Amino acid sequence: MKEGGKVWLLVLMVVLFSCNSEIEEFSEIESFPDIFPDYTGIKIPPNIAPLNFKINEEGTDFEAHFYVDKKNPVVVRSASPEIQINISKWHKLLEEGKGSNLYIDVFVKSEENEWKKFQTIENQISEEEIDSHLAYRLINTGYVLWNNLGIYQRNLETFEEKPILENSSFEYGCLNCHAFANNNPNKMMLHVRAIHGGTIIGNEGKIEKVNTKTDYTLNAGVYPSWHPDGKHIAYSVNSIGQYFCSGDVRIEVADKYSDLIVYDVENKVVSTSPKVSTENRENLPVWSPDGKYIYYVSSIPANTRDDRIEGKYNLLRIGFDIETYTWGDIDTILSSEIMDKSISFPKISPHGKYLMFCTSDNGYFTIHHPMTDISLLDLESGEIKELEINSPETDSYHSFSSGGKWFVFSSKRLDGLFTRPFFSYLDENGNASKPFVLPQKNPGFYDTFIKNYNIPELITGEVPYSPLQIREKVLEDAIPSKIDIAVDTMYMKQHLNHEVDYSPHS
Amino acid sequence: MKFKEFNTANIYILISIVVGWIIVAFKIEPFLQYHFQQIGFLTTSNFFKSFLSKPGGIADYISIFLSQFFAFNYFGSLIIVAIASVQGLIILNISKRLSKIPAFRFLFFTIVFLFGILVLSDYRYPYYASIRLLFAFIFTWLYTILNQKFSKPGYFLWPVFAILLFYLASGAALMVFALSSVIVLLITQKGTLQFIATPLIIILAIVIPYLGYLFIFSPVLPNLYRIVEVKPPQMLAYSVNYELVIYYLILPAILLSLIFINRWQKKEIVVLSGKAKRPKHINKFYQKSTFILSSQLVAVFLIGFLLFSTSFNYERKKFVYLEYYAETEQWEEIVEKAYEFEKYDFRVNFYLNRAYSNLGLLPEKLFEYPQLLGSKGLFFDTSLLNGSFTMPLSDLYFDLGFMSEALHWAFEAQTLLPDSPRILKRLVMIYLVNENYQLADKFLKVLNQNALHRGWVQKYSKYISNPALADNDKTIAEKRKFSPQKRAISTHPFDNLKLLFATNKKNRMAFDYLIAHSILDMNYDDFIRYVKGYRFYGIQTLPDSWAQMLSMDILRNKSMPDFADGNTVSQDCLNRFTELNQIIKQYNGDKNAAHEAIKRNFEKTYWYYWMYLNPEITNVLNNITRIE
Repeated sequence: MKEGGKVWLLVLMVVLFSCNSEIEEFSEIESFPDIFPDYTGIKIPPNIAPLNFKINEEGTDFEAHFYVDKKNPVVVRSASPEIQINISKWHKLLEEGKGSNLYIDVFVKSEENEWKKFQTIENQISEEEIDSHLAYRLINTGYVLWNNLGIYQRNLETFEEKPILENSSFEYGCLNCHAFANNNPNKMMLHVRAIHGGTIIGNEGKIEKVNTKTDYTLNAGVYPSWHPDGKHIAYSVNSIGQYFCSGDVRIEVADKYSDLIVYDVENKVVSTSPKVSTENRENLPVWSPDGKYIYYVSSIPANTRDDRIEGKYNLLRIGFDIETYTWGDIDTILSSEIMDKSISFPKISPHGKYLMFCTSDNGYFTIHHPMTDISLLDLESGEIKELEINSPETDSYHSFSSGGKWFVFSSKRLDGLFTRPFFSYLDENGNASKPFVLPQKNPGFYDTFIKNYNIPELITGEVPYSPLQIREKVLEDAIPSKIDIAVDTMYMKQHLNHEVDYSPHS
Repeated sequence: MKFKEFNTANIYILISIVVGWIIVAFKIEPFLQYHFQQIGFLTTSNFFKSFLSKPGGIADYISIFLSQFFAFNYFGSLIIVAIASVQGLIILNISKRLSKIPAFRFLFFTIVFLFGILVLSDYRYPYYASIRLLFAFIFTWLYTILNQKFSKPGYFLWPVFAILLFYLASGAALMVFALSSVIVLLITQKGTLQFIATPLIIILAIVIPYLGYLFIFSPVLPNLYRIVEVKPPQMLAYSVNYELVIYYLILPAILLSLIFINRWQKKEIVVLSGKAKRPKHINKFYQKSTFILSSQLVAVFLIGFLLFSTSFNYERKKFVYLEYYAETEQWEEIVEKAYEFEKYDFRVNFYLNRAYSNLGLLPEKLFEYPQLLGSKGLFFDTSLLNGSFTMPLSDLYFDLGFMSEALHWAFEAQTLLPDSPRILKRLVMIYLVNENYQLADKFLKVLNQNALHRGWVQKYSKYISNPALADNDKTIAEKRKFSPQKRAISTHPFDNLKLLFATNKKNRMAFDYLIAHSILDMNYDDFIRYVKGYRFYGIQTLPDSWAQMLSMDILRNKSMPDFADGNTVSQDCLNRFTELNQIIKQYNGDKNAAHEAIKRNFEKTYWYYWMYLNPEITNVLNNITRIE
């Protein structure tokens, strides 16, 4: 029991809780209990799995009462400090309490057989649900080597986790960059690297393995974004390097070159333009919800290792007509010079009002940058704000729920080392609620789990393609892609050979 | 007579088991297997669950549970011998059930037992292959009993047995079971049904893994048929050898031999038909059973000796020992072991340099071992090697006090071997040095899931609750003083050494490595830049390798550096240098002609290295291929 700094209000009370609770007398403490994960003062979706937690207070018995209405609490009694809530009772409670507060009373029995009640925890239950599933990659902390890894999906309403694809099914190659169209699990893609390389695209029940590299583009597609029509994917094509450094960022992932392409999923056609294949490093494309623009980041050319690492990225936008494959004009949305930060991972809320992005001192591969934070750009007013959710540790990759109210982001805040998914609610005014970590059945899960959650993406249901179906395609040869006839192939060849005078385009 | 026969056979079995245990405990030494493979068994349900999703996972889980006890050499040996004995006893029992002739039963037992031990001669051997085979033995035994008691159900229950075995022990064990049960059927069943069943069983043994692959399990198809799966990390990749193949074929081969033994017996009886008694010569055969048993015993020991001598790789064992000594910081043993290697080995080079450095002898002994790789003998060249360099590099950087790099390589190692107690301990120590008690505690909690290391966890858990204990820990306190504040990872070890030296000049090991690196790179500028501070370490006269490099520098510049005085280079060194020059003069400056003469007296000097051995001369670095 934490003694210091606590004021005791010794209140002897006779309480009539539900018939489940046997506590009749208790003293009250004027502080919140120390619980892990921190589920205090948060807003939660009405369909989230039980927020099981561990009470970090000394005691011999533990009890937690969860209620919207004090008369009908869900009572959990435990001889250990781990509180695990019955899943059906929990969901019933949340369903009844939509839009209301959820209260949690924590009781701890001391060695002297006295119950103590901590100050009531008050959380909010939102009206809006979060997408039911979360897709992510689980990887170890190694920088260069890898062994077992896989992309998984977790049902956020329960604790069920299933693999989407594990690398043990294709000779332990690498897997990355899973992405979904409009949070739709039926329209997904992921990359397979090193062994059986290619891009796996699942589209309305059909899975294909494609090679998005053409003779006129720098590389196969890397960082993806599905067009809202679910028929096109914008990619960056990158020449990526990994560099060891000194300082807080001990490893940097940076590009020597990078351009943008748009890939036609049905016709296997790649489009690009001199406008997005310049000497600058265009990267991390994302479609606007109306499908008319590609937002992306861009940095100046990098001739040296230091340039590559130190370069800052601006946020730009280019029009793209999906019917005619016409690339429009480029607008600068946010300048890194003005921000004095590098901008990365732009993501636009489904209703198009906000653009969420990461800021860091340099580069775009923010997961290794402790100073990375998440900011919000109001696309209507142009107002920028750093979100309240940020911590002193890395707060990075984010993804919106299909309803636009909930979002998930990666954070290392729990221990400064391992990346965990956190959820937060974004209101109409762009205010984000206090984030909470992905709930686990075992509240001590994060104490001993030493893999990282990478690229968390919210999806509206379970991926309908089984790991066996995906594996079958991984083992096949990739379908080649063609370059769009409208692409200036002569320019692209010269561009790849660095023989272009870029001044007219850049 | 029968009682005597029984006892002789059993005594011989017992003798075999005892001899087997002695061989395993003193020759194979399973604790080396434990350290080499960094076996980690966790007691959590999640660890167990991770084995459930693939065929053979249950056998693998059991094997990891058992092989963690290899850490205790004698007990581990007992486990190995016990498993091999159980396999032998099963085959003994099956042969008793299927043949009335006892003559070769002891041989059956010992052959299985022998190969059960022999396969462990390779320190990369994944013990799950033995456990999977044990499942095949057990299933064959059960199937034999079933067939003896019931005739038809045996046919129909086979697919059930097969599917279950496939899940428990994967495809290779299933194939052993299929071949064995076909022979069991041929011996125990009569009629046409067995001729239909035989091909069906073989087809099913092939089809079941394929169907499992198509509809249930995600691993790659070949792994479902292999005795040993092909999977990372590469450093533990085991190549299937003939001993393992024979081990897997023994059961069906012995059962097949029973068919011929039974036929032989029948033939003898047919020849002497009409007589109720056993033929005389067969009787004699039995009367001589003690002799036959003894002959088998001798034969098996001879075969065993022969097989063991040919298959056991003593060089590899020495290398595993070297790694074990490095892990347990037994520096003098490393020095002793290193010189037992007949040929140059870059790993020996690396460990010897590290050992000399920890003994404070690196400057004196730098050229005792041929530094063929130059400075790459101090730090592994990570671009050329597989994951096997990760922990040695982490250990070396920890020795040097460079926590960022120690952490870097520990995490690379942990990616390959996530449950390795050694790596988890390293991570705990690094975070204790870094005063990051939260992460130290996290890795302690992970390690606490391993029942064998709870004592270690208890010791360091106290450091978490009472950081003063960590402050007073000699190793931790020293590393804290030496570790650069500037967190850095560099692909150039020399940069790291410079940073270490800049952080704390008292870091003598870093200084020795820095100088050794300059010497091996023949980098005179940096050598002079750093060696001039030698008096800081209380040195009056430079140790051999430094003095030899300095003498070369003096010769090159035709002048004495300002930091040197009459004591800096010993008279002995100067005399030897003069002698060397005289030899070169004798050969009119022809280095090639003078090679043998110089080698005779100066092989273990910087001068010899500079003239004949360094990688620029030998071009050895351009001929290195990646280690797989």
